[in-house]
Amino acid sequence: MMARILRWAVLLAFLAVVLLPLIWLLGASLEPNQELFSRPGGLASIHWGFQNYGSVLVEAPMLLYLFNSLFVSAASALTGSAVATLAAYAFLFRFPLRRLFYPLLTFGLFVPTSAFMIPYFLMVSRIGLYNSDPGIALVYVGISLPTAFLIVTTHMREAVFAELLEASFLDGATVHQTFRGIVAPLALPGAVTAGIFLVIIGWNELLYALLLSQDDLSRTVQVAISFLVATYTANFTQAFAAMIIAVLPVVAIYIFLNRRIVAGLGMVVGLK
Amino acid sequence: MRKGETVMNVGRTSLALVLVLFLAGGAAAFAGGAPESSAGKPVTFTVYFHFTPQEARGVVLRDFIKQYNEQHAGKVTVQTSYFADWLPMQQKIRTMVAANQPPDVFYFNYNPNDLSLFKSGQLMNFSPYMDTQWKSRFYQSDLDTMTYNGQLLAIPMEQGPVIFYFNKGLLQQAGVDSIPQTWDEFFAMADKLKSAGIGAASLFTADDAWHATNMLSYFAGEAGGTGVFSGSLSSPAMVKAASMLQKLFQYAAADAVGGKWAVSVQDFVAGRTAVIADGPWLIGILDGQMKDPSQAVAAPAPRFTTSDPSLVVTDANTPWTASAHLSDAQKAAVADFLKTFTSVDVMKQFAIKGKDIFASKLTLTPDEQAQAGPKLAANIRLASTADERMVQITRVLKPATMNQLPALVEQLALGKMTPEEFAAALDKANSQ
Amino acid sequence: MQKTIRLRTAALYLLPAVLVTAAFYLYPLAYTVPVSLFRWDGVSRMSWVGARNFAVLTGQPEFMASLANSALWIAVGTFVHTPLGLLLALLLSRKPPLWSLFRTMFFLPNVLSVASLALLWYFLLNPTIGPIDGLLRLAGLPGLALPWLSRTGSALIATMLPFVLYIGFTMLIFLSQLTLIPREYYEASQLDGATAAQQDLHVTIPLLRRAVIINVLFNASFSLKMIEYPLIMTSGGPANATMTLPLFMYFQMTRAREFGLTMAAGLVTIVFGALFMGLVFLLQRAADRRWA
Repeated sequence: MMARILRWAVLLAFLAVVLLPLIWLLGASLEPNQELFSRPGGLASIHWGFQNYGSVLVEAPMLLYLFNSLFVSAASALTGSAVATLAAYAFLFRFPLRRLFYPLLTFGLFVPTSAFMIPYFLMVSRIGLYNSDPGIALVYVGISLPTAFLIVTTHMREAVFAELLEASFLDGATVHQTFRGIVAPLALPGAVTAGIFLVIIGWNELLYALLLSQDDLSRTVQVAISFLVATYTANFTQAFAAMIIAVLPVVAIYIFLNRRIVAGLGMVVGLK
Repeated sequence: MRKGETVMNVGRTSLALVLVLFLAGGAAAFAGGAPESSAGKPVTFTVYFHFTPQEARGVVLRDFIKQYNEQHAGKVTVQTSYFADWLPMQQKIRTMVAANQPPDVFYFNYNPNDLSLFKSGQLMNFSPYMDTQWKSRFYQSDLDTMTYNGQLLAIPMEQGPVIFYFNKGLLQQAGVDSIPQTWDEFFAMADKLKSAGIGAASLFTADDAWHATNMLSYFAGEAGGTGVFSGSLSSPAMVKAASMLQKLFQYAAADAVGGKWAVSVQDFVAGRTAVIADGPWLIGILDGQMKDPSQAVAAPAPRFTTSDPSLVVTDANTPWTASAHLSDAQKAAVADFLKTFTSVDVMKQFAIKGKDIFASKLTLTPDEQAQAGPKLAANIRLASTADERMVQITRVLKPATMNQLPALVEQLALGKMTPEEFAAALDKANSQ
Repeated sequence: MQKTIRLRTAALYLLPAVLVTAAFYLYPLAYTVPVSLFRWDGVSRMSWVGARNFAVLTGQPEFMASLANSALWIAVGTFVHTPLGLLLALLLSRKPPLWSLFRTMFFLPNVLSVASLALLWYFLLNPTIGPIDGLLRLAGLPGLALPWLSRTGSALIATMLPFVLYIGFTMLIFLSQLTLIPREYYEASQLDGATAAQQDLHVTIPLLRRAVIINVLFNASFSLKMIEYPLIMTSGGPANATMTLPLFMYFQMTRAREFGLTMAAGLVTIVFGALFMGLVFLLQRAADRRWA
């Protein structure tokens, strides 16, 4: 009984911590910037309305930015999880120099990629992808690969039992056939999880989106938001509106894919 | 097995999707980036700027570019690349310069202690294009500043003065009848404001601590003269300035330490503070967002005694420049563009409609000044009639010192450092 | 027995990942690590200073503060953020009513960019217009309505608040691992009369240790790369109270224009991270021996 109350207390406390700030954000996005600052609490406005949303959508090609963000996140997520899954498969086996490759593929986790602005810029512009969505997506694959690899590897190690592999090889399947037939299906939930991470990393990244874009052609939603909170011209409530607009597609996709995610991940049936 | 097939299909579809996306995106990229080919096509170049479409000077600049394109249709097309955020734009420009691919046309803050852009060899030489007529638009000293190794590598453009604004209404509310002319009167006013629950200064310490360093610059410039930042930074004048800044923070808002520029500005707009010191870009915000903009009055900065010379602190000179890798045709076009930009007529538009103040020579008739509005007219008057001019401290420090300054200001503001320690630390950082 | 395959076969699968790593980590490191031995402003010619950069770093209070604060961030990530994520994952795994809604809600803030969350919390914690202090005043506690981000005592923890409270990613990884625990383990322990809590403690958590490792590593990586929280909420202040290694690097690169110092600090960060990763794997091996 006590346990039940505690459980609900924790769940509801966290829900409050999540929801209340977002409600404030929503409220603040509905008022003009000056009125955010006019009274304590920030929400004592008299001019409620969707002006900020209107001006964000009208003054800037938000749909184009949303498309760019979507392309960049989706492309980097799909590529990244594919690359990670392929590599993870190799580590189910023993092979020469295995001990070398694992740190090679994971050490990037702690490498501060924000210091690589010059080399990344040189690389991307040299292959002609500056100011383009594919250029940004390519960099995103790079900076999120260690993360994707670790997620997929961890999942694969648990999901693919040694016995399954053995059985497949005893049946005479080749390494490649085993991947297609046995491992890939089992690895899918891990790849999906990695994909989710990569989509969100790509959607929210700012530094390289700014560096590698020059105009609306390749501008992402985060760049657009950063312009609204520029150091010397900040219109915060408009930025809040832009943030909410930026979040809606991801939320929509998440809700839409929710069932597939649940089916893919499955859930341990708890016992009450 | 069925599951395997489903996965294969998913795998195949994803792969196909990725390929299609990359191909489509790549095609669009290559198509969009196709270079202008041979003769018959207009010469193009891209101008990088950060004026937003909402601010006055942003509107004027965009109109000017549009007009220029119309006047030169078929021969020259000016394209634009807009970045609203100054700091990331500057960072991107420097990255591009480091990669030997600077933007076609851009601007930056001139810092005598950081001539890296001039030394880079990536800037266009304007000397061949600077004829006598164009030269007459500028002060020779400015042109000399922008000359490196005998080559004119940038065109002097903006230099905004930092002007004090007082909120008349709030002052009256606190029982202060006149705008303070000396620092003693100023701090007396601050005390009265504090009793009335009003802040006496809009300050902030995030980013470059612009408002706080404005005040510091005024204190130091008046205590030590316009050369106060050239020598040692631990001079008595700097110590005095630091102690005054420390005192001033006691009259600032609770979130001044760690606060942002926009929040500091909004404090003044909302009437929580009665004093602010900033450049001409503030005018548009005050006029557009204050309940009663006429309450904000531009006034000369207070001095130690009324017989002291009057001082105006200014922002850095922000010159415009171009890439050294442009073709001859492009360079000629850029020179013509900038020449038109700095012509008297266009500069007047920028001053009156754009509320911006430029380094080129400009006089407005009383009629034009009336058009520009009382605040801008006051800005121009104060800037041009001041006895002395000095550039704000953050624009002349070494970049490494500039990096440490906000933290030092915060320690000063929080009482964790004495003014002497502040000045000594600043001097140490600047000597490395 | 793990099957052994030829390097050639493995190479086929490893190639894409190796190429990406070479392009985005090895090449830039080769380009930038040598810079740590020079003084460079990013544009002019470099000048050799040898190991002096590292000496300069140790003499800078800003850098030492960033080392300490980054260590704290990693500690908070390991001992506060990860356990909270685990707790919520366990609670949700039992599928209480509305569990799906809860799961969506808990993940929602992580869909907002870190920059957006940082800005949001800057306002939430603002003493003048923020709702937190506003509510404290309404509740009759004006003494507690402090400028959290402006005081050296509270600023660091204040910048960690969104990191600690928004555990969506961590929770997701735990949930995804939880699905792999065979039902039989629970049924067996239930037959033995274990309560839910005892099951969690003795069955689930030991089996989740790989997920714990991953989450600890990811959170440490996040702490060593993320600049948004200290940058947007406090700009590294007040007086370097919230300065972290990545923010120190960012400022050295973009404000101080000292690329040599940036790369030297970058090397320190990599070593820091590598040491931490090594420590974690050591502990993992010890745990494996205990629970395998």
